[in-house]
Amino acid sequence: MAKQEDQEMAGEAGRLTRRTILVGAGALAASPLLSGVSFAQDATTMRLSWWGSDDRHKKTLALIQLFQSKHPGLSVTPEYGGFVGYQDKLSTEFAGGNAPDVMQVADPGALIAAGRLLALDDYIAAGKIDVSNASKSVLETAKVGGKQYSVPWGLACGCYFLDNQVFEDAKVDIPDYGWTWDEYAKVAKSLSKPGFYGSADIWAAAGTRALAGLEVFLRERQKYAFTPDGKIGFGPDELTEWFTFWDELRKAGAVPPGEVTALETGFETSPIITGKAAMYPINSSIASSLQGLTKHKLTVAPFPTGVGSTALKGDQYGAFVNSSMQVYINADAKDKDLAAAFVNFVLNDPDAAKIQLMARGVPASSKIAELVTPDISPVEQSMVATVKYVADHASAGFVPWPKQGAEVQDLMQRSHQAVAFEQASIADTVSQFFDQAGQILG
Amino acid sequence: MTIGHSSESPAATGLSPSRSGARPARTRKPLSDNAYGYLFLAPWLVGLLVFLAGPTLVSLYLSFTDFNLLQPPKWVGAQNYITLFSRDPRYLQALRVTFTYVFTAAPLNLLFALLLALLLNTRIRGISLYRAVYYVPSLLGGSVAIAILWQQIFGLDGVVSQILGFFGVHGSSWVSSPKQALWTLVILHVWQFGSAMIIFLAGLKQIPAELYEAATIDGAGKVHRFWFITLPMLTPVIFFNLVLQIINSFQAFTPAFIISGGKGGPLDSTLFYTLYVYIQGFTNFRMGYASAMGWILLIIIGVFTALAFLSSKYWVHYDDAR
Repeated sequence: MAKQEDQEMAGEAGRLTRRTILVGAGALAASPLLSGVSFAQDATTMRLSWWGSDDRHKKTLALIQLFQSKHPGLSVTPEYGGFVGYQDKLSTEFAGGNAPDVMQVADPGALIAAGRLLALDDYIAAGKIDVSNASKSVLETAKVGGKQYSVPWGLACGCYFLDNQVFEDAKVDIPDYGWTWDEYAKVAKSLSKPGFYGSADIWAAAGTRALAGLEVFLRERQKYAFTPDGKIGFGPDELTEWFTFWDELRKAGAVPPGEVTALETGFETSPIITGKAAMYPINSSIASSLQGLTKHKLTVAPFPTGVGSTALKGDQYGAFVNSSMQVYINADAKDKDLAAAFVNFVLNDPDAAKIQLMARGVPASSKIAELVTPDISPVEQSMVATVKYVADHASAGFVPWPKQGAEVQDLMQRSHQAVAFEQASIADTVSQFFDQAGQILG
Repeated sequence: MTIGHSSESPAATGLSPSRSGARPARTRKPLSDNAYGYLFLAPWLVGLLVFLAGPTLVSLYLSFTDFNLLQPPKWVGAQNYITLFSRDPRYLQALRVTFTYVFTAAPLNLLFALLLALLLNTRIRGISLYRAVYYVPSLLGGSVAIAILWQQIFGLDGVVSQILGFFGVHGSSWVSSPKQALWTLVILHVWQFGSAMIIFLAGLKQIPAELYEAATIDGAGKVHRFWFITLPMLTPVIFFNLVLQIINSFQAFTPAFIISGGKGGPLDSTLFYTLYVYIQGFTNFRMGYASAMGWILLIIIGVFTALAFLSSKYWVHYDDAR
């Protein structure tokens, strides 16, 4: 169809009429206003969009080179940047009908609800996207309304990064993978000294971890952040217990006061990098980028688990593996087969895996993960071991967030701040949280 | 869709005058003059209609709808406006932050600009270099780099807390404390006095030297000359700067966006009005709600600008009005 249009256009161009010249002049006059709009119309271009750090940008650009060499004549346009503002830009592109063909999506709920992302089930059934070696439970969590809209572009879990140098200097043992929240608090306190904190706080001014720790904590109490029908999945008691746990650590000087935590605008400015804290909670997929910013050796530990000092196993084990990020296809992608080929390429191609390594976390295909594990750095080895430990221990599934999940996460972040800056009591903060969360979720 | 319109309309507008020109007998002279006028205005007119007036009117419609950018808008009447004032504590916080900012940053900026303009309105060697140096901050002003610099200066181990520490004030981090974060942005705005300063300088140059000479002969000192000549003669320029400042500072966005990572934090203490519009519209997909906020901001700015104009009768002196 596209070819036919091309021919018609060529025919038009052959006859230079007054009308075509005027229209052309008009288009030329308007073109500076439209910079950034892609006019690419032929089938041999594809737009790929992602967020990440420099390390991921470099590896993804190399990945594109490889994909282009396997598809002669194809030109992939990369669009990349940092995380802040990424989703806002992407949503706007979708609203303007100008979104990329293949992309990472941070907050897919609204886009899926509006039918803007492609369901991949047909491509999987046809063998065009091979998911036979990918983690079944993680694939399951990416389903919305029974349909598979994405495949994981890497696996990760919530984790703590540990600054081994500080542990060594303080003669404190690196904790076991099976540590409890009580043990975590004890380690944090024993590493603290004036102006230095054992651990970073569980919230940060920017970023997306305000619900990650709570989610683990809730699962140990057989609760979830959200119920399957999109309501808040826990009560005031759990939230009070959670805020109190952190408030006590803050008052003991084991985690930093509000104005230190609020300085973190991304992991680049996190307290473990600025030399203010020894433990740092975040998603495990940033391991190599984080290690690149410090000379101190880092290792990875899963989120603490257990209620009080009681360790938990099986159904009650709190930590869980999820996809660090997923790859989606635009429902209006120009060449959906080509887009699906790219998704399959990043998921299963051994040469692609050798380039990507752990740039997006542990490869989703177990076969590929084993293949590249010998090539990776010590911190990444530690990350792989942590993700494997969590995968082996977690048995309860992940309840997907409703489409306003990210908004509730922002609310949780402000609630943490209200307590940390002592602007409101824990009791008031808890009741305000449930009020406003109710409004957001309608 | 907008793309299609914009690429064809200039051509379409370009066609009509040439058609009327094809029938010279029926065209009277003034009319054809006008036609050519409109022809030359066309690029700007089309820009105004397509990119300003059009979207503005659409946003008025959207402000009465529930619109998530991706699906067609649903009419909800005045619901957005009611929610803003009855059920949204963050909106009231955004109003508080913005008004505090406008009523401190705008006057302080003008005061600073005027003081510097007075200082730089002298004839000494290299004066143009000094003027350039003081103008530079406002060139850098809205940029990302400056917002990051501010984070460094007012951060935990920043220059400000180190200097204060030297005097025994063991402060915390200014940018990340809800009590002080907004004030660092006020200081940032005041620091960008350059463009107002240039306009003041131009105004000062316009004041006839005879007035000062006459006053000096009558025995007026420096202070008297400032109060009775400089200031009254400068009021039209002060008025102009004031109106610009009001409009600009109501629309402040970039510094807060960068310094707070797009969230208006810590604890909504830098949640500027426009930043909240952005969060609701582009982060939370509530474009109808954001449009309602936009229209209220338009009305607020309109009212304050009108107040400035109404009050100008009483304090602005124009040369020709006497």
